[in-house]
Amino acid sequence: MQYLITIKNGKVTITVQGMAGTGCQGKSVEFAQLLGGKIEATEHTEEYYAQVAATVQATIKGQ
Amino acid sequence: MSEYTTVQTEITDADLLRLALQDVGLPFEEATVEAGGDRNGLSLVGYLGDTRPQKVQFAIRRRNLGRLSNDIGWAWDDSAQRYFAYVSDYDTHLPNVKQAVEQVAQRAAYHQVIKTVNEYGMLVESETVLPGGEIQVVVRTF
Repeated sequence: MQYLITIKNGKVTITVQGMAGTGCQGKSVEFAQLLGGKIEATEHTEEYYAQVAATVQATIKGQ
Repeated sequence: MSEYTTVQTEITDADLLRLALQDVGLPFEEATVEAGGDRNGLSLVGYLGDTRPQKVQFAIRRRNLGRLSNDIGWAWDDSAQRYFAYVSDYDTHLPNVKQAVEQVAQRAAYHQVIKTVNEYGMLVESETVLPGGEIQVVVRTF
């Protein structure tokens, strides 16, 4: 797993890379907490929702 | 890439603030701090040469900012456990002062990231500074 960390005007955005599906859950927050400061937002990318939808679909088909 | 968190960093470490000020390259002064003493030992001076009531630990003097500027500084707030930048209302409209304060915040955040990466045994794979000054750091965990 890796983090892409973007620093702009003293604001840090941490993006989790290389984790499939919901495995990334909470990982960027963990890093943010190590960093300290005030967490402004945590969001999932479109890729996250696509992976979750694909997992749900596969589960339904597998039933 | 599936989750991201945005955090507004706070400057809580004098060493990181000092590094950030050095990176920005403007001459600065630092108060001498005795053990257990008040960190904010420097007075800020206004553009007319008047001594301001604000006291800070780190100061960039107005002569290094432009003739219309007041001093700017960073004071340690014991109750909040972090540094605050002191910039006069007038100076917030001066591009050079605004840029200096933003650059210090940017470089302090960068050093905070690198310190965290090193402390927790992660590895910096790459660093890129984009034309607008944005910094991208790729960090690998084990």
